[in-house]
Amino acid sequence: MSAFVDGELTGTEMLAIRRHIGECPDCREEYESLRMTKHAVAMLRTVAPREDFAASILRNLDVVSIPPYQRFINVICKYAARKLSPVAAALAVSGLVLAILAAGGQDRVLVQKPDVVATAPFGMRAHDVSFMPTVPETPMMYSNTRPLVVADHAAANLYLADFSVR
Amino acid sequence: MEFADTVAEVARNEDRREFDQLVERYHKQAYNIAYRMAGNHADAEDLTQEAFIRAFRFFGQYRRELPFDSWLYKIMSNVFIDRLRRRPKVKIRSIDQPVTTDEGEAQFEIADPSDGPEDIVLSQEMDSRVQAALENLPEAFRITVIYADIEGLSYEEIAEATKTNIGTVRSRLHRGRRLLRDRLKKFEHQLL
Repeated sequence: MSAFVDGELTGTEMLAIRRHIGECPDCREEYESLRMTKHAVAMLRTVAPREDFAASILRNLDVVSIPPYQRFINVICKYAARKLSPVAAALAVSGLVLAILAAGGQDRVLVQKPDVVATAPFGMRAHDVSFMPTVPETPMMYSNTRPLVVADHAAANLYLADFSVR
Repeated sequence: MEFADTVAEVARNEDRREFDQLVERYHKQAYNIAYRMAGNHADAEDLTQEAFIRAFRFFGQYRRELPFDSWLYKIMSNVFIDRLRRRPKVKIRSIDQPVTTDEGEAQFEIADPSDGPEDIVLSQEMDSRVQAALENLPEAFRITVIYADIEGLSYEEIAEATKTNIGTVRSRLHRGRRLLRDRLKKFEHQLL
């Protein structure tokens, strides 16, 4: 009913409700009460701020510090939006953000390398590989695991490390 | 590096000039909405200030082809909700508002040197009642009703400003108005 009061329905819906309200006293009462409520809120007087309020906002803006990365993103967004269509601008900005994140996300993840890789069939040692899972406490812990791919830098080869083979 | 700094500086100054004009143009409108959300002048000032500061921080991301006030209202809704979550459960009350007591509602009695005609007094009383009823609505309903009935935003614009969908706007508006109506029922004869 509120959507009818606001004229936010399709033409057909508006006509159907208008016809119904003409015939149904309860719905007519509901409609009138909601319309009056909307009117009461709409008629609220406009409250004005103090005279120097705009100046006070501007003074506060003088001391706002915008972090450099935010300024950079703002400048890029602004100029991208001017030169490109909204979709292209959004794609360009997303691409830029992804590129920044990707560049910043290249940090090496330190993985604790055990001295001996249990009894892996090829007898590799941890310092030979770029990634190695933690050594199982007991051989049975890996009994159901699937083979892992492990890089051997020295031999420039990839190996399958199957810990289920003991 | 110096060139990049100069470009950033020029862009910042250009933004600032443009933003200053927008502050001049929209601060009264924003303040009125903030007052209706917060219910008193002190909170309305804080809310408006914070909304403009946040808007300035992200001004580069404002799409110039859209109306600035819609974008500002979006920020203001967020600021309002954030502040409600942060603040202690102490309510600052405006002297314009009626006080609810065991014996019903009472008004602060403060001498007003600029007494007007009776209809102005009645209108101010009604204003206070509607404002008090608004403040008793859940925040999401209050924001939706204010945007629809005071600012006259469409459902689509409200959905955008409150980061929700049109169905939710429709439901919040309907439930909000029904709650308001129930609260204002005893003053129904004064509403029109």
